[in-house]
Amino acid sequence: MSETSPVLREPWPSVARQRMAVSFGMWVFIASEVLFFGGLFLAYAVYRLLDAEAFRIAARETDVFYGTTNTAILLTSSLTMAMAVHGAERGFRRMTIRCLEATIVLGLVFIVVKGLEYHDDLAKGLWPGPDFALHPAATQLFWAFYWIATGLHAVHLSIGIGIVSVITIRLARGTLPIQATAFEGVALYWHLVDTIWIILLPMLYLVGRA
Amino acid sequence: MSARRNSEDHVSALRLWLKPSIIWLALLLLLGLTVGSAYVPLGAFNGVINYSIAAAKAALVLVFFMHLDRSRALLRLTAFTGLFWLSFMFSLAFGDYLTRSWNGSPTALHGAAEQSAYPQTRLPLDPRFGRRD
Repeated sequence: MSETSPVLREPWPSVARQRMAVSFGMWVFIASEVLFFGGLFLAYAVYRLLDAEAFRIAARETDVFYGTTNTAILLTSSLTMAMAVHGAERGFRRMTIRCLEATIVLGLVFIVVKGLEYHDDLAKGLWPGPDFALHPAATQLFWAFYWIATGLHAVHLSIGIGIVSVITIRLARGTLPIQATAFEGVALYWHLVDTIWIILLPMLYLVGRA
Repeated sequence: MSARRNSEDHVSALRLWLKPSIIWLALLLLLGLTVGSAYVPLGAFNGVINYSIAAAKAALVLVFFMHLDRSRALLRLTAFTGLFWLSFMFSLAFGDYLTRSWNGSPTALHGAAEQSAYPQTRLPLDPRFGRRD
């Protein structure tokens, strides 16, 4: 007893079940991502415990303005992404496309701001190595974490921008119906990337300011 | 599609924005709060406040933007699973680092006196594997 719908795929008997599977699969993936980034966060926590003073010295050199701006940008992109899903649920095609476009633009703005920040960081000699600008040497541990964590985050965000672009183009061309089950899955991924940045903000930008 | 249907859609679309916009404002407010408080000297409580606010922001995103508020139990449990295992990873690791002096921990229960936490520029080495000169 299967229903017929343009968005229904094998092997699901109904769109509702398919929707559930999309969310479930994405949440399982998110749980694995939590542990992936969790390993990084754990390493940060351990080295901060071992050398709190060096972490304070190192973290003072990150740029709070860029960090805060980018947080606001990502939080806003999460709003537009959430609205795209709400729009899709009610069949508001135009609104969904606009919201997805806004999400892509905000994601790209984040990357640009991050690029400006990276440029400043490199100019200040904050790439770990023989010419590193700060002392003691353990400050390099903080900055190694900074580059790895923000780099991995930027990779995740770029993948997100790519996926959102694909569904936006397909929706605009009419090859992806507004009832498609993909939106919620893509949105969950986008919000995950936002959440990781929310955790990174106090780790990278708010240490040693007081 | 009639004009009447269009205006109904318009009203309904606007109403749709209300709750997510409130969540978004709350997130920006918390962002302002956490950045502002970071400049107030509160000692250890700077960290407590910053990470509590980060957790609150993450919770708002998880519950409202990622729809855990209306998700079925299966999805809520799956979301919880990642954090559950993460708590094991942190507990076991800090069970070591907070209690064993050979890890070079400044807060270790034993042998803390003979090791100064700062300036410590090398990675801590397990003495079983050698050099600690």
